[in-house]
Amino acid sequence: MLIIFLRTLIIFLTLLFSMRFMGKRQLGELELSELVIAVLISDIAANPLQDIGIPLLNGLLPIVVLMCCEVILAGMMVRSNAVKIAVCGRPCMLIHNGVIDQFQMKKNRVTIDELADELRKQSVLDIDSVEYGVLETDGNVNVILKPSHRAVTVADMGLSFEDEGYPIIIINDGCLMEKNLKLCGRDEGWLYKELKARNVSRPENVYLMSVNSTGGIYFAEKENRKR
Amino acid sequence: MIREYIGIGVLIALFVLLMINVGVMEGEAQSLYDKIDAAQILAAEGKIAEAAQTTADANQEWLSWSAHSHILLRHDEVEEVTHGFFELIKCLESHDGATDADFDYLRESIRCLIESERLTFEAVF
Repeated sequence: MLIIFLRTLIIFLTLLFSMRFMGKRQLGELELSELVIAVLISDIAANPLQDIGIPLLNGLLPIVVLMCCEVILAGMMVRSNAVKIAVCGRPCMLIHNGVIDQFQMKKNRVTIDELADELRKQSVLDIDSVEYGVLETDGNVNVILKPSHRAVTVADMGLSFEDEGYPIIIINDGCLMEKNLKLCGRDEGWLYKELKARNVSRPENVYLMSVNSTGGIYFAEKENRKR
Repeated sequence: MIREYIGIGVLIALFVLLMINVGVMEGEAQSLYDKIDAAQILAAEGKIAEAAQTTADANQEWLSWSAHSHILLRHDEVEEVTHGFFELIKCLESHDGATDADFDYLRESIRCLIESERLTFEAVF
């Protein structure tokens, strides 16, 4: 049992390092090669954990090899479009100007139900309102509506508005983020003044406090009640 | 870019190390074969005590190498060879003596072990 415990720790740390090394894209939508590697790694890692008769290296070695392959392949895909197309394929147009391309639907083995499901996820019920429906290489369908069906924007209305900027968190669950405080050009004197104005004595009593570039403050005091 | 170079470097290093490992294992297996062959000849000549001693020496050599093999090979396959050595020694030290089949069994166990690491079409597929 001690051996299994140690093996689990080693495999976990190796997987953690591998995923970190492969980058953040590994954690989002998976491309084909990434999906293959994620599936393989999860399966390979489990074997030496379950069977003590298999050397740990039998699990670690494939993980390291897969990690290297993914890093090399991702680099090649960034440099060469041909490699990218060969590995991931190309996006293809399933709907053009409200008309479903039946050839592409068959070619990509997408059923009407699946397409309708993808459209519903994006709150589109009428295919006729779609200008472009693109099947991306990660399997998602992206929809661009016809101009007559798009939501009205501020620019369409001819209005102008002030950008509120990106809110910077200053206190996160009672923890003062000093770096962020400096980033938004404030100091602790200003912070304590703001806290005092809200009848709070210490940052530890604040659940969330953020400031945007126009000086707007979002403030939420920590609740004391216990469930 | 650095990550890709590291990836390529690690893959090459692993491949070279694994090839070296195969070479080391082949050498060790050949040394064991030689000792087993010698023991078999001695046993055929009726020198059972010497044959048992030669097999025991080969077994010691195998045991000193088994830590290395346990890290790299399936444990049950490694134990199979260890078991084969002890069976052969037991047969040689008993009054019945060992047959050619006992020696062949040990040789085959070692061959199976090495075959799984050797870079051959059969091993890969």
